[in-house]
Amino acid sequence: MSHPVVPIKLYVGIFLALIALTITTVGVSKIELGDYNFIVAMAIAVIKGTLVVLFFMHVKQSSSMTKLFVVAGFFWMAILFVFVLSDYFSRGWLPGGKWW
Amino acid sequence: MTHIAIVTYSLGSPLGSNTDVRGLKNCDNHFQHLYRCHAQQAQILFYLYFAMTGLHAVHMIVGAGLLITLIFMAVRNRFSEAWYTPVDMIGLYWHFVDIVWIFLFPLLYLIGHTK
Repeated sequence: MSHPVVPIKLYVGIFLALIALTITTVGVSKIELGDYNFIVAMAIAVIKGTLVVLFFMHVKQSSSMTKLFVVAGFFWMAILFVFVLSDYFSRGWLPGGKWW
Repeated sequence: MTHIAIVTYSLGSPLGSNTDVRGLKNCDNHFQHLYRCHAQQAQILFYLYFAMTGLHAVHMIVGAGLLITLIFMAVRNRFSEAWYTPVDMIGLYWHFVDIVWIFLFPLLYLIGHTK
């Protein structure tokens, strides 16, 4: 199998962007934003993950079929997360004390 | 405090009503203090902490072995423009491990920093 060779400049650029975003997320975490600390941290993580998937994993230059499978994979993972988190967040809603 | 924040964010409700999660101010982040004041929270917290970092470490050890294999194959000129499938496949695996840490790092170490 083969695909177009990606210039090293792009990889270095993405690497520097990831480093910059890491510094940003550490910096923002030191600022008191209440619940927004969590949202900002996860938003930056999603941006970083997207960069890795698109460029390091070559999804940007891949076929529509590959992109569809990537989306399907993340959709399936989201379903699993919903199941797990619905367990976590709903525990203790019913009376009766400890649940473990 | 960093680690307690995971509990308050993701596990706030399952902790039961016996312990006041908001009363964490009275305890510093010294481990012994954490165990005494919030033993059950500490237990589930460190179960999650070590399970997630441990599983990630296993993935990384496997990845390190694969990358070493790649180095040996490259040194022996096994790859060409026509065939470099292992580089692609192991690269995909390594970046999957990468993405896991991109999300685990803020969740485990950053959220709750200001608490």
